[in-house]
Amino acid sequence: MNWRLLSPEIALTVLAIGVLLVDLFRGQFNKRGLGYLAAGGVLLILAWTYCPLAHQTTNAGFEIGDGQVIYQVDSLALLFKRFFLLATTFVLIMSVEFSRQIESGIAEYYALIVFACVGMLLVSGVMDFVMLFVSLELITVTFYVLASYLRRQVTSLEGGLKYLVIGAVASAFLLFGITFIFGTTGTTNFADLAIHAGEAGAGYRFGILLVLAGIGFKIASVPMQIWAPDVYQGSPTPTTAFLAVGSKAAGFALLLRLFDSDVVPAGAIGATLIAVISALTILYGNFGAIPQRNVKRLLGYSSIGHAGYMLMGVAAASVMGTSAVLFYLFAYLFTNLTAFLVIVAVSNTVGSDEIDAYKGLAKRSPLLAAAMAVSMVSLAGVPPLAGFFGKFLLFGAAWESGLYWLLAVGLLGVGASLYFYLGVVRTMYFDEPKEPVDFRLGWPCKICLGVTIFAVFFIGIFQGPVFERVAKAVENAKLELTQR
Amino acid sequence: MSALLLATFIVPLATAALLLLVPRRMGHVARILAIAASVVTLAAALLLFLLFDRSQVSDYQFVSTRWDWVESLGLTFQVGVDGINIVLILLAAIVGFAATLVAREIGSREKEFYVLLLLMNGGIIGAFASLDIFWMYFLHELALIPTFLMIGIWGTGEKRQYATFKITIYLSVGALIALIGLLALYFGGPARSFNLLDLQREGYPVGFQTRVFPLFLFGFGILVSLWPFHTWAPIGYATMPTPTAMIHAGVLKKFGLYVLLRVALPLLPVGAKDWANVLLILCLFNILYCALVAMQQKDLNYLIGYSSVSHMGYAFLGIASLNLIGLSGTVLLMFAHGIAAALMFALSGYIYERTKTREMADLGGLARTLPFIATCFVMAAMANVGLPGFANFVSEIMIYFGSWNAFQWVTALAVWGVVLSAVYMLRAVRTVFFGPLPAKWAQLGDARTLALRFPIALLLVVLLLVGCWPRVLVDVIRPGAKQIAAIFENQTGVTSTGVVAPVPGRLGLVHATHQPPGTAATTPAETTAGATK
Repeated sequence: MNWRLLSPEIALTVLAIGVLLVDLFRGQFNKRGLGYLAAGGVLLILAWTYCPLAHQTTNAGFEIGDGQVIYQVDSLALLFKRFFLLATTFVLIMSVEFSRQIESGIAEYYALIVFACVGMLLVSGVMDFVMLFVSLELITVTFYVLASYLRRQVTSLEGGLKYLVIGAVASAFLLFGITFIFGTTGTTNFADLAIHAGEAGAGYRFGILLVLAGIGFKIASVPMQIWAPDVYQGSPTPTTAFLAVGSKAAGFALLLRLFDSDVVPAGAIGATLIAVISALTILYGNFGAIPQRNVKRLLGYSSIGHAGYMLMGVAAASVMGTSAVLFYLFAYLFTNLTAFLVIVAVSNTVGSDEIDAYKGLAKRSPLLAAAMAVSMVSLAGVPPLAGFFGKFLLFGAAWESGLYWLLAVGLLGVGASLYFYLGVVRTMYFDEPKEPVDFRLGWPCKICLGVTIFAVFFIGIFQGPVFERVAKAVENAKLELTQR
Repeated sequence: MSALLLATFIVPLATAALLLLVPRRMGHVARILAIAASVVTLAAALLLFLLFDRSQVSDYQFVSTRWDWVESLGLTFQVGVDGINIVLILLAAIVGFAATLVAREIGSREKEFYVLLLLMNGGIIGAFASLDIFWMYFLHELALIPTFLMIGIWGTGEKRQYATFKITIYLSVGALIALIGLLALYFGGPARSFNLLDLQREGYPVGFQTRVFPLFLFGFGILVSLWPFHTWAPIGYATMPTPTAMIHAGVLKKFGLYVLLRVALPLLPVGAKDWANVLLILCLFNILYCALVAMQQKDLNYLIGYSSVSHMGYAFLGIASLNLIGLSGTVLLMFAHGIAAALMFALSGYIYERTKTREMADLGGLARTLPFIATCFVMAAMANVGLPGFANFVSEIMIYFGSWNAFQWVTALAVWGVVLSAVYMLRAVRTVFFGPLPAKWAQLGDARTLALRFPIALLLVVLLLVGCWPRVLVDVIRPGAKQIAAIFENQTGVTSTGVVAPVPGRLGLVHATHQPPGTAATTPAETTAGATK
């Protein structure tokens, strides 16, 4: 056992409990300060992962029992951990900005976000189905609470309930699938399963199918996407943002892990299934978004569409495809955070998330309007923004793997998405504002907005730094896999 | 020397970034900076054109170092010019300069307008100069996006929101289809490179070429308003603010043709041959059908828009001919039409600014109150019709000669396009400038000051200069076009292995060390290409 591998998770847990304790014993402690404290702590842990002490022996897993690796930190897992820590920092700062809309229990809200982050970190390194289930549930259960945090709002409660019901069904699928896998092979360990996967029978395949359905819930892919629009609309905005950038990425971390460690039977079946799901998800998300009049709901559908695009990379089942998905996640992270920061600022002042509330935003607050426009245009995938290069890579990976029909579907999706993303831009820039309002933003939030906008441009123009890191992580993970 | 080439697009782009720092209320500072940037760009482009070595037959000049951008993908950044893109860079610099001067009519949010205008200008010049297909696409998109915003914010007319959406979706989808074509070139070849110098060394399998060429043809076809995907153009031009329409119709629209010439024809010659007949039929519709539609227009900008769509048909006809004179004619037409279209939109914009209408029925007799504008408009109309003495005439004649060599009776049909364009242009001139003058227009002010006259006069002079002395451009264009035509004019392009031999000529000069064995045998006799002229 190498406890050092778990140091970020342990530190995060301590941090979350610390936040709760501080709130308990110093009830009058500045609530904003508490949120910034949590964010600072997460940022410190992010810095810690860059310290060589944290992962001297990257490859050696965390073992249990007779030499079974249930958890390991390879380069891919490390990349994902940093991703989640970064996302959590931003979401915490966003929550501070949002805190005035939360009546009570803000300290618990911060703590829950950190707990969810622990789950995400664990998910990125799982090598065992039991471990997978536990860490995934840690995320899901925290999100049940996070989604329904606005207790007086019917939409929030409705969203929370929907998330709970469909999440429970998804968990049941996942568990049911794991029992099939365990029943046919007698093990839940990925390394052992990879050996069995080749000659696996129908029972095993059925189990994998159910597991994929369970993960499909996290990434909001067809047919497990039904919850997304309602939950995105009803949840407190930081929760929505975290669902979009954190929870979804956790699902992809798992999916890539299952494919990379050969737990999903090698060969065309798995990839074809993912390709079909990808196509349906792209169509559902992008066409469903067209009639939406609520920004968060629109982003809910958009997040389904983007899950579809990223599944293209998974379906490509190649180094290029995996790298493309990872790059896209980074692009999507910054793009979405920009949008949600603006949404928090606007709803704080105007008190509405309807697209009509954004009318003439360009005249009322040029900074917010520009940020939202950058985000929308990046989501639509237009140069020189981050979203463009992400789509470029994904489409390239699909072409490389010969998924021409999927490319055509992707094209259709992008065509449709232009309509609604630019619809938001049009509302902000071309329509007349209703009444003049002053927009106030806390300075950490302003810094965050500056950082995310800069990142969206930087990643879009200088794609090298992010792509090289991502590609190297994928290469190394492949290498480490063959060495074992 | 590549610094000069880099300056042509880095100066406008950097100025755009600089303008963001200028306070919003200081619109005049933004204007001065923008004009300064466009003057520098024009000077750099002119200097490049003068320094361009016309005796060198087959190499890119002013080639920059190759900067690594994303190393593991083989994505690099490199610029360089040959006879084809140097002419287009010159075109972009001239039109960009004129458009910046004309932008004086923009009344609100001047700073933002100039930022976008500079982005358009710098982006498109960068796209022309780039030798990496990734950056061609990237920089072109960078130039295209401002168009949408400019229609939405500064556009004119009732339908501008509809127009914004229509043009955005058409052009973005077109660009996406083209993007897939570019990805295909990257993943389809063994080089795994976006650099033209690398790609030209590769040969693509015949079946691949036939499958991928339509992505280029239709993707870029939409951007160039190939029939039946042309409907975005007239409504788009009718709603764009004048400087935007000038740069878009004059320069941006030529990008699709440029990529077809620069990337699709040399790399996918078999595909080009297979699809030439489809292109031929579609471009006939462009030339004839769109000219007939132009005759029905009541709005001056719609008429100019349809006329521009119709003229793109000639450019496609020249491409479909796949021979030296046709291809050279296409490049010359891109230049001539670019200047003429910008001129037309500048004039129509001036009329709109004074009268606030573009309905031709409302106008009339304006020659009496606007003599300068009327004179220029008549000359621009003559240029568009293809009257000798203007650059358009030379280019159209070259295209007809070229296409006559390839397919006689299609050419015989296409020539009627000239007649039709004479009909609609002369009718427009008559309704707008002659006949009785409505009383409400009696007090209109003509363009009297130098600032108003200069951009218009500049464009007109360029048209006349090239028309009377076409060799100034043709001598530059020919060596570049010869490179492409050579692949088609000697039939040895397709080797027995079914793989198309790389572009001859350039190969030996640029990357002599990498020359694969056996290609020397396929080098064509340069004389066959020259014999057609």
